[in-house]
Amino acid sequence: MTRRAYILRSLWFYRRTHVGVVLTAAVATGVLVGALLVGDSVRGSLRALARARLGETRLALETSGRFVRQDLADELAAALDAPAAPILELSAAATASDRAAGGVRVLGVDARFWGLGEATDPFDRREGVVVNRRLARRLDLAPGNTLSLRIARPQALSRDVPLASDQRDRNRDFVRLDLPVLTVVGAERFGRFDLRANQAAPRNAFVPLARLQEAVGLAPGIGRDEPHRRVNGLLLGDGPGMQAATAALRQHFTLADAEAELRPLPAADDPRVVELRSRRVFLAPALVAAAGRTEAPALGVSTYLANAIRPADGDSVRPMPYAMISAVGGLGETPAPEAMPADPAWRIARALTGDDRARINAYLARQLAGADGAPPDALRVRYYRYGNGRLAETSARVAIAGDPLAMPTPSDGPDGLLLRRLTPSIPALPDDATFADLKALGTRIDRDVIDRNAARLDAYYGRYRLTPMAYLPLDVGRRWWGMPQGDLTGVRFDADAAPAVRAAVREHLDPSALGVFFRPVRREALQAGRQSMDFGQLFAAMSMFLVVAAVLLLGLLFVFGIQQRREEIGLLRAVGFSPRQVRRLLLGEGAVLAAVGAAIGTAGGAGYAAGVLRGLATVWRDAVPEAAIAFHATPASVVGGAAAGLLVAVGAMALALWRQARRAPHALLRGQDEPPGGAGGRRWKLAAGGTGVCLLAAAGVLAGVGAGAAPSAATGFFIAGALLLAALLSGAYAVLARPGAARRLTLGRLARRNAARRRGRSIATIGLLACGSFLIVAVSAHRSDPLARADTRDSGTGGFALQATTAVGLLHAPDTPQGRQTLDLGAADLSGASFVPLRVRDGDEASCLNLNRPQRPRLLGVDPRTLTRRGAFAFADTWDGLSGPRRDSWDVLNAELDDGAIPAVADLEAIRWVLHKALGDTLTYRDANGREFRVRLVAGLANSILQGSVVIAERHFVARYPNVEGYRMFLIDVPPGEMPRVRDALAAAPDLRAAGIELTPTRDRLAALLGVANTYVAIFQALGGLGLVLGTVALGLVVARNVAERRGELALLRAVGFTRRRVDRLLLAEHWLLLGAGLVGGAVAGLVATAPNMLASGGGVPYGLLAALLAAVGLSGAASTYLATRLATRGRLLPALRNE
Amino acid sequence: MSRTASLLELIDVHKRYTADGPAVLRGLSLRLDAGERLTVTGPSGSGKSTLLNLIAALDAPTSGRVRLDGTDLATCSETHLATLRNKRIGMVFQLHHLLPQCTVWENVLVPALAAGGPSAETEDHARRLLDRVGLGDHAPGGSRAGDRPGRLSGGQRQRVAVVRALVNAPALLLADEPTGSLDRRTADELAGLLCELNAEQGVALIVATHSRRLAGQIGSVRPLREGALGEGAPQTDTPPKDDPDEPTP
Repeated sequence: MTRRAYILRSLWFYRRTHVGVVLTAAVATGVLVGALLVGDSVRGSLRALARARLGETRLALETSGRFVRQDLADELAAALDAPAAPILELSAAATASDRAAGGVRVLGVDARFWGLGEATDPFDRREGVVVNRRLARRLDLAPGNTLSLRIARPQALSRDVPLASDQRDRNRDFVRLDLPVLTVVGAERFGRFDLRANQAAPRNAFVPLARLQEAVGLAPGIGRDEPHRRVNGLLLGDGPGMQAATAALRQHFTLADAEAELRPLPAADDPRVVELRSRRVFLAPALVAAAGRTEAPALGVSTYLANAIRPADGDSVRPMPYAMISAVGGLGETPAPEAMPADPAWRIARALTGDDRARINAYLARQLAGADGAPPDALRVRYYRYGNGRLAETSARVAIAGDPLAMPTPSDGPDGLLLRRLTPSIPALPDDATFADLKALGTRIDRDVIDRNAARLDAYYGRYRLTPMAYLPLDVGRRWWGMPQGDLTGVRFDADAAPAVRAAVREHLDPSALGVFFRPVRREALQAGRQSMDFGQLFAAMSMFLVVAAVLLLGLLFVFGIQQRREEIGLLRAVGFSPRQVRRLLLGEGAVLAAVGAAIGTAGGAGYAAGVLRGLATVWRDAVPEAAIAFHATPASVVGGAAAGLLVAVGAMALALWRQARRAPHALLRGQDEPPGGAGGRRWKLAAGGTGVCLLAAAGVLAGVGAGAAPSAATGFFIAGALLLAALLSGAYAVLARPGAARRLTLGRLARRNAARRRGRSIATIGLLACGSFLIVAVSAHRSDPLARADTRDSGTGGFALQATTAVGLLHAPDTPQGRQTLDLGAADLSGASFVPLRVRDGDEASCLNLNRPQRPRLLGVDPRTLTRRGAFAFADTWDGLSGPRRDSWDVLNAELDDGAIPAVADLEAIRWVLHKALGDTLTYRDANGREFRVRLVAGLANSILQGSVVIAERHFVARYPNVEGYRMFLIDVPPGEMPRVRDALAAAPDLRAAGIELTPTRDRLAALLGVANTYVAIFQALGGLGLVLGTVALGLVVARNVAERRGELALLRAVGFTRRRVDRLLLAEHWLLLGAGLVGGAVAGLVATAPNMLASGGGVPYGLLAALLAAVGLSGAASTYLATRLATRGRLLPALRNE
Repeated sequence: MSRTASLLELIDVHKRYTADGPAVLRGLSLRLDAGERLTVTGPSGSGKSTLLNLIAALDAPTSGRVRLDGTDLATCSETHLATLRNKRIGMVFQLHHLLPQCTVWENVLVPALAAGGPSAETEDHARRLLDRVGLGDHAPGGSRAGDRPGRLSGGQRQRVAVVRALVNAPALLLADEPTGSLDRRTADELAGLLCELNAEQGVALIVATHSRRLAGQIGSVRPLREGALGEGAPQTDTPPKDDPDEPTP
């Protein structure tokens, strides 16, 4: 006889009893393993998705809106000995037949791109377009169809800047490509290519790179001042690390890649100076700094357009409209007077040094001369100041120094040309622009003023073109109109300094300072998948009640089995086994059962996971929109889940045994395992005291919430609910343990007495049911009807009816006069509609529609006042560290944070569950100049359509991303019932169609977002429901066990005259008491815990469903109790008396 | 005669089950030396089982001392008590409490398991004891080696229980109503067996019973009245006519 033999004998002998234990252990293990495998599957699928998105791409060049030379790809490929593919990615609107799609990414690629995707080049030297499946589905495209792409021509200068036109010409500023569809490519052929970690496939249209470059003007061509083919992306394949790639980039990065050049002036064959200038008009500060590292003297130039210049004193003189004004001055240390003697600008600058005075030319002097013919002493200059994302006209006064300047015309020779070239090449204006061309600057130019001053303007512009009329010291110009894009339009050097300048730029210019840097996209993608929403944990958490119920049932079954063997335990104790030895022996037996259960459960877990995945693909597909989750399993999950199931089962058994083996052996040998005495001595008083304390504490917490002392209402109420649950359990204990004879014995009192005999069992039953109903109520409170109250301002729609997005930025909202004019909305009936424009910096989708963990969420810039004024959206919570009077409004975006971080608002659910952050946490971004900046999440919105993005104040946005042009998102207010009219009017507007406008009713967007959360709740409810089924099985088991133990007593009741029905009623009363206490108590506690959600959630809580759910649980519990009672008392009870 | 420490000594033992409940034992004292026999008689509820539980270290007295081999049981740890029960005491109950899942052989070796497992010596001893009680064919190699208790008669089961009690060669064998569930013939056989084993194995024997017939067979009868042991009653081998234990022939 050995321990092992004893255990094996016992296992075999009690095999029937053990079946239940094994099955419940299998359920617990299966649920845990299954949950972890669901997590594996999601992670595995995201890894596969990352592979499909990026192919072999390891690093991708971020250019922040710049266009670098295509040749850079060859140079880096050679330097790094790695595959490199240049790409040109542009936004477009697409149409085919009568279908249209916005948000299309046109990708100019060549064979190198397909090589990185390990796919064959689908073009095979054919002319046409290749589309991916998503775009093909959207437009119902098939090979041979014609796809029409309307692509916004890339602009070197943001249209937000006054020197650019705010008016987009449908024909001139858009390129239309009509191409035959060659083929449709799926993920396996790199059609899913996307540098952003989004699970929704992009709408990709692939076009031969050269064709796209030529179409949009990013290639050398006739009449085009562009020596290079340009791209805005570069993919690097396996090989180099970040460090090597960054070093190589720096080494090969040239002035041309910075979109700048050193132009000899006045002419290449007669260079007197060289000027550093950029096709982006304004020179990036980093570029200026790098160029300034030479020893050579440098002249900074900042030329701007004044709206009007007039004498500072006296209104009698007609102002001179639309004059170029140039600020000039030496950069760095004061250069020697003899520097650049050939440049008239230098001479002017020298004259202005150290003096806040202006010089004007003779023409302006004449135009502004007073009645006495004398030029004015001072000027008042009106101009647009660009700040906070808006243009505001302002004026400034400056005194005039010296005599009017001589006025050589450009055709007069070098001096005239050099002065003319102080005005940079402005994209909207031809090089030989006359006054009439100024109208191309859009609404920033008052056409009437031009017309009224045509003669004066023509007289000047006809001869002098864009030669500045007035000159300011450089620092004055910088102060007046300096903007985030930069504050210099040119830097001049001596002609012979050109090689030194080039060398300085190559040596000192860090491309990342221009926003050009490599991103480790593969690492980010894998990280996004790895750190994604952990479905393993999520399902484990959602299945926890099921696991707990299974474990509780397991514990009960095991204990009941042990209790049947109490005499055996007593004997073991009597023959010298210590309690510990007995426990070890029985636990050994239990461990074998648990191991068998775990083995079965592990196999079952795979089936459970497959079932959940099937659910996620069908009834629960809203939880993982646009993601196909395939089954994946890792050994760690299988082993970990099985081990966890085993541990939990053995733990439950050990806990159950601990009490059993402690009983006195002689009592066990007599067949007694009931705890002595029905009364709990002093314990009931302790329990009653505990109940009082819990109730008082709950009341205190609620009072604290009312007084605003609690951390947050939601937390306070949840604590109060949990305290009520604790009060319920301790109160139940007190009631059951309370001694004393009843005044009059009734069936009910007898039932209570009976329930008190097995207090532990009764409390466990109440506790299980109470926890179950608490959870159901708490979870249901988060299930909201997305469309309830969707029209109110504090709902998830913010009260807006429509959300519009465009492929290219619009400078003005369609409801503004400029918007109507620039977008040619003359005929569109937008009456009553009002727009809140938002700037968009593309990034990862940070909503529950994205399973990946967003690495850089999309950033929105909004003027907080537009939302504050409307009281749009409800704030769920704000950061405690935020000071100021209005913590629950959009004013928080204007808060000044001590550490310089930018305050931001996002959807609270997205902050917690998608970004895995908390209020007060920061996100790090890189601005257009490659500098990192931090964004602090200071407030969270309640379930809103802004989920997916991080919102900051527009002024911060513009300061960081001056290159991001216009607004690409609009929230639209529409009079009630008029949404279709406005939507149709917007959709029909040609300019908006060209801009790729997409209109989504906010109710639809909210429904899609909340559909995810509601699906999670539905999953939780389904799994919780399964748990409660096990709970009611446990209840039935308790009933059966109680009856079996008391057959003698029940027989006695029958012997003394109780009818069978009365005996049944006694048993039902006892157990329905437990059922009712558990369900009702748990539900009440749950209601209190989630009261704020129930009252404040934007969408109504489905109370009917909740009540039906609880009623169903109650009914199923009552039914199982009834069934167990009937079955247990079915036999003849009276013989049990003789057995006693 | 100078007396060394007795095998068993109970000094002024009192026992109540609850603080305000009635005293079951009231100042009971007892000495028993190795190899001695004692029969404790008394009606149901007189405290016989309580007394045996105290002696077997299955329960503790409210006051007074219980010494085994001179060791005060109150000073022993739970582990020590378990060892004493295992090595020095054997118990036979009214019901045999054999483990239905184990064979007869395994049942008799269960006590050895508490000490880690049976040694060859213990197995030899068990085999001899089974032979002695007429159940030698249940030992390994025997014709009924695989039989479980379910296939034994009531008397056989109780004999297995006696063997189990003696397998670790205890100094003291306690029997609580050992014949309570047996017919007269089988009960007589068991009583004889207990006496013989007492003599052969040198094991002290205490039998608690309300059967005057069994008491007469064991001898050294001391009635338990009002919580204390009285003086011995005359031994008799003929049970009284009104003995309620006697089954109707």
